[in-house]
Amino acid sequence: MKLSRMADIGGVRAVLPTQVAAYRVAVRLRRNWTITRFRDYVANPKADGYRALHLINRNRGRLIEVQLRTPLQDSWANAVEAFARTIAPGLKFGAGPPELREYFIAVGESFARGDQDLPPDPALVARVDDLQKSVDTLLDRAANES
Amino acid sequence: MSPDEIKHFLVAYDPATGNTKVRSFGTDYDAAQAAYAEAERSNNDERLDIVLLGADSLETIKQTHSSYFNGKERPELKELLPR
Repeated sequence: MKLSRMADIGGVRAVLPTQVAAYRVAVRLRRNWTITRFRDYVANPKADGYRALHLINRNRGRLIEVQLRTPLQDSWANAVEAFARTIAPGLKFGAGPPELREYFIAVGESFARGDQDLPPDPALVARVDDLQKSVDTLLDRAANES
Repeated sequence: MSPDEIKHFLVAYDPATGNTKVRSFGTDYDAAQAAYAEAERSNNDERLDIVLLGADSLETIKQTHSSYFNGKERPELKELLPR
């Protein structure tokens, strides 16, 4: 991709109160805007556990990516971003410590149940708690080294 | 909110220190864009993470782009887990 094209890409991020509300906005945008691409990362999460609805809108020759998230999806993504920026570069791209990757995948699943109003899955909760301990240990070690 | 009511903020985050600097441009998008271009030019070594963000308020950005505003603090998802 040429850099001159990249300059035409902007982004919009909206945090909607519920998953249903986010889908409702997506439906409305697809009806009223020129949406050239729709990615449903809720139905098909990314391998790292990322969930959101992404739409690309073309407006006067410019491409705008619209990201629709629930509050839990937003907190999840911002946490990954924060980790990626500080202790685990590449976390967003499938790299980084395996415990941390598994932790985010499990937390993402757990959040997704919350967003679907499903009751917590005890086995999943136990797994998240276990992974939380490994992650805390990992982070304590990283903090002591720096 | 109509597009010309969007306020623009230039955010520069230093991953090494966790410090964040914000410059507000109100609704002056041209000034914000010029400052953004200049900030990127002087960020040769890419030490800083620089973004130009627009929203109704800085409070909104602190939510939607919270990872730029929590310093080096460890992100906590624990309390959010449905149990």
